[in-house]
Order: sequence, then structure tokens, then C-alpha cells
Amino acid sequence: MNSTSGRTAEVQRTRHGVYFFLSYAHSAPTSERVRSDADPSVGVFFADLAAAVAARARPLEGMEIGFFDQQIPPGANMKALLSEALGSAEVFVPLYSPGYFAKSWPMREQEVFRRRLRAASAVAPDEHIVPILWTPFPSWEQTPIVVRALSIGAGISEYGENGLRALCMLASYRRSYQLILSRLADEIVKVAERSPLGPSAAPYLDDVPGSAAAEAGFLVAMLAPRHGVSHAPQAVKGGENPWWRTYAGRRIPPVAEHAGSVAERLGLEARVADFVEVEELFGQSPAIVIVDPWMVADRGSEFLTSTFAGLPKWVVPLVLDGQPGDPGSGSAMAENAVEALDSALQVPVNRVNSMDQLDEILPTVVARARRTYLREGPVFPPVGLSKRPGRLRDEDLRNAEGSETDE
Amino acid sequence: MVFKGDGNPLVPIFFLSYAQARLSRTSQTSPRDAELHVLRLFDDLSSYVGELLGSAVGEYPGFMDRSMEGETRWAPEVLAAAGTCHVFIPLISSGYVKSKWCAMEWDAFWRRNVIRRPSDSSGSQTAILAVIWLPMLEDRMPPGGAGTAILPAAAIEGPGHRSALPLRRGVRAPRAERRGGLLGLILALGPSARGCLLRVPCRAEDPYRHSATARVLPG
Repeated sequence: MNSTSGRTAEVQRTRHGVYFFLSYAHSAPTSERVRSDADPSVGVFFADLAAAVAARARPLEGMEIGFFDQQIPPGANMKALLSEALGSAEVFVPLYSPGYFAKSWPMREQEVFRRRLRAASAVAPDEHIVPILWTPFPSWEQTPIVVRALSIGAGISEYGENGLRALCMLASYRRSYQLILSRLADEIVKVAERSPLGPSAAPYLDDVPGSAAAEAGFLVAMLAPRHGVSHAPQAVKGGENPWWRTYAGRRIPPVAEHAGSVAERLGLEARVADFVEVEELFGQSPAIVIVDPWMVADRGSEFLTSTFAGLPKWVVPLVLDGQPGDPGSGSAMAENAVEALDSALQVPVNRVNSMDQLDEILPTVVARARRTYLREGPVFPPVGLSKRPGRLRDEDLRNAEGSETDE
Repeated sequence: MVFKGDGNPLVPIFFLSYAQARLSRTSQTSPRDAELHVLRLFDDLSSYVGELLGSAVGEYPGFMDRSMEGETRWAPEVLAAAGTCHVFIPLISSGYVKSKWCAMEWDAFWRRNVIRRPSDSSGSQTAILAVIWLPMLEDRMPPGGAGTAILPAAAIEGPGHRSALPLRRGVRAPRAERRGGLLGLILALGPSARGCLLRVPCRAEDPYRHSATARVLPG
């Protein structure tokens, strides 16, 4: 992650607020056939909540009703847009689940919002956060935070027992679901209209801490011609290449940053870097390698084949294509790149020709790389094992104490 | 904060056991369609259990044996899954109770020691969560059914929760539950059946949280 401390999202003074920001955990695909990392019921709930709020709200001109990350256009700078939205929202609505607390990303969203509340000297900061129990927690896991999420369902036992996700999905809970929705919408409108914060500066997602637990590592490597952005991509027929459109001049192209963000959002500690920088780390970390097909022009297909033939199975390539159906040189090179990689790997190679498509397959590819790593990767003993086990004889113990080594 | 059992991300939470469909003159679904429904159930179950437990990237909560029945040796991964999974979910049908392969899977799980975790919930006596998949012609549960909970159809489709009925060996399954089975429910309800399926993993979660089934490494 490239973090620039102290950076805050630019809040345009002309930007109006939004009534609520919906925060939730993205879940990796849980079986081979599942593609998406976003639970469809979150989308359903968002639409229902937005409708309920809109029905009650009397917004000032330009004020929007609700925001959640599925509104971010594919390939846009996710982190910047999130900070902007967190700086504009009046109420933060987190959907609590075990996955929410296990991941750094949603916890960081909440921390960004809390810091913004502090910076804006909010009078009653707690009322701007209205948590929801999305999936049930057993009683022994109900921390004060979770207990707070129960309060909106006072008197509705199904809410505490099943969580709002179940109420959203099961027709038999329709009434309870509607009741919770209207309580929540009432609360949001009340806070937004009676004690508005107004848009204010919010820190960048990378600049706040998330959950305490360390997340597993993941590498996103970019394999592109050394000459960088100014090379061939501009020469692709039709002018603009979809992968290099924004952030011209930056060393790591947006597609790699975006892939890193997707991996992070799934609960991994993603490092985004040029291929050469992280090549040595592939033996110990699952990875995806984003391949710019111009590598074929730059170094030849044999280079691609030989490079990937030597890499572990948990390093998964993704070939970028030009415009869909483009008969120009971009597509032909992508074809060559895919062929070269196919022969090295003997498994079908992923190829994408739009940000939409990238977003669609990334969670699956990331999950597959990580799973392969879990199954076939190197096994390391726990880091805590630093002393040799004690032995029966004193002198052996003394010898052991003198030489601490990790196996 | 999240209960993760033994912490090994490759150990499946549940093992979905089912009889591979045979072409039958009376069957209304082709074997391929039948398999698709099982796969769909598996995917939905996996996703719901994953949500309930907060599965991490690369962890698949479920296991399903997709090797062909009739192979004489167990694939190592099937053996490992049967030996390490926490909850066993057989999809009961007359094909299931007749299948030697399914009986072997059931037996492999049944033999493992169960360690009860201290808890105030009754849960089920074993970590076998039997689901009636298709209406059964036979009334008897498979061997090893003593103490096994059968998830009644009413607990899946209707509002409220009825606790699953513990059955003793040889006891007839209640007539009402035999009528449609879960597959019948899925076919009849179509897309809205998805909501009903949510109840199955909620039930799967219960034995997972309340008992630990000792691991048997494939030998």
C-alpha cells in the first residue's frame, strides 16, 4: 500500500452531503462457482433503506440520500472516493458481522468517520453512527459494540436471533424487517436534519489503523514494459487505453492499485509493486501478476513463458487486453501473451478487457491464489517457537539457552 | 473474537453428503439437473456459513465429494474432509439410504469421537444434520442414525424455529417431512427458496459451535 500520511481527501466546497454511508464487509467467494465478493442482500438492503430515507427526508438542494461502495465506478480511485463519501455523510451505518470485525478495511472506514467526527467537533458523535446487527452473534461474542447494534431491534426478538440479513432474505420476517427499516430511516433523517455536520475533511483510508489482527499477505505485481506509462499504451488504436486512463505519470498504474484495493477489501494485506521488486517474494506469498501485453513487444513471448514457468502455482497471471474487439495491435499482443502463458502454466489464463470484467473476476482470482497457497504453499512453524524445547540434562538446557534459533 | 475452531483454514466446516443421481424412469429431473440443485444448495450453504462465521479469503467452509461413485478407493481429499470436518450434512433420499458410498461417508464421520463443548444450548446430540432431500419410500434412517437430528421441512420453510427431532435407530421419519423434502421445496418455490435455505446453515452452525468432533487423520 502506498500511504501518504497526513493526506486528507479533498472535499470540494461545492459538494453536498449525503444522509448515510453504508459500511459492510466484502466476503471472498466461498466455493469455486461463486464469483462475487459482495453479498447481494447488501444491495437489496441499501436500496430498501435509501427508499425509506427518501420517503421521510426533506433534503437540502443537492443532498444525496445514501452511499455505498457499489456506486463507485469500476477502476475509479476507490480509497479517495470512500474518504470523500465518509467526509460527506451525516450518518454511518455499519453492518456488523464476524467478517466485519475480522477485516481491516471496514474497521478503517469506521475509524475514518470517527476521526472526521472528532475533527468537526461533533456535539453528539455517537448518534451519527447507527450500527446494525447483520448476522447473529452468539451471546458470548456480544461485545458492547455488538450490543449497541441490538438496540434498534428492541422488542423484535427475531432481529437479535437472526440478524437483519436473515430478516431481509426471508419472506416470513417481512414485518420485522420493515419495522427495523423504518426505525433506522427515522433515526437517520432525525440526525441528518436536526444535527447536521455538513461536509468536512476526512482522512485517507490508508492513514488510519484497522483491526488489531494481522492480515495475511498478498502481492499484486505489475509486469509492464520498463518505459512505463509513456510507452505504447498511448499508441493503441483509438487513442485511450482503458488501463492507463487516469493517474498518468504514476509508476504503478491504476489497474494494479485497484487490484490491490480489492484484495485489501477482502481482508488481505496487499502490497502493490513492480514485478521486479517483488519477484523474490513469490515463494512465500500468494500473488496475482497483472501482465501488460506490450511485454511481448518489449521482451518477446519466450520471456513471458520462461518467467512464469518458474513461478509457484499460487502466482496467478492476469492479462490486460485492449479495447474489446479491437483489431489493432493491442489485442493481438494480448493473444500472444495469453498463448505464451498458457504454455507455461497449462491452466487457462485469465484475460480482461475492461474494468468491469476485472472487477468481476478479481475476487475469484484472489481467492484462488490464496487457496492454492494455503494448500500447497510452504509451511512455517509458529513464530513464537524461538527456544529449543527443554531437555533433561542441565548442560543441555544451558546449551539450548545459549543458542536461540528459529527452525 | 470469532470462533474459529482449530484455526486450520483448510478444514471444512461442513461435509455435504449426497447420492449421485441415477437415471430413473420415474424421476422428473435428469441426473444432471439433480446434481445442479445439489451444487446450488452447496454454494448457498457455503456462502451462508461463510457469512455466519466470517470466513477469510481462500477458506471454503464446505466440502462436497464430486468424485464418481463406484471408485474403489477413497480420494485422499475426501478422506481428509470426512476426517476433519465439523458438521456432516447428508441429503436423505431413498437413493441415499441405498447407497453404499453414502453409508461409508456417514460411517467415516460417525466413528469420530465427539467432544462436547460446555454450553447452555441443547444443540443436536451429534454433529450430523440430516436433511430430507427427496421423499423417501423407506421409513428407516441409515444405520448410525441414533441420536441424529433430522431437520424437519417445517423448520426450513415456516416462520419460527422448531427444534429438530432426535430420532432413534429404526424409528420412522414423520410422514409430513417425507412429503416434499428440501428438493421439492426448492423446485416448488424457485428463487424464493433461497431464503429458506438460510435456515439450514443456521442449524449447521449450532452443532459446530457446541461440539467438537475429534479429528481423524487419513491413515
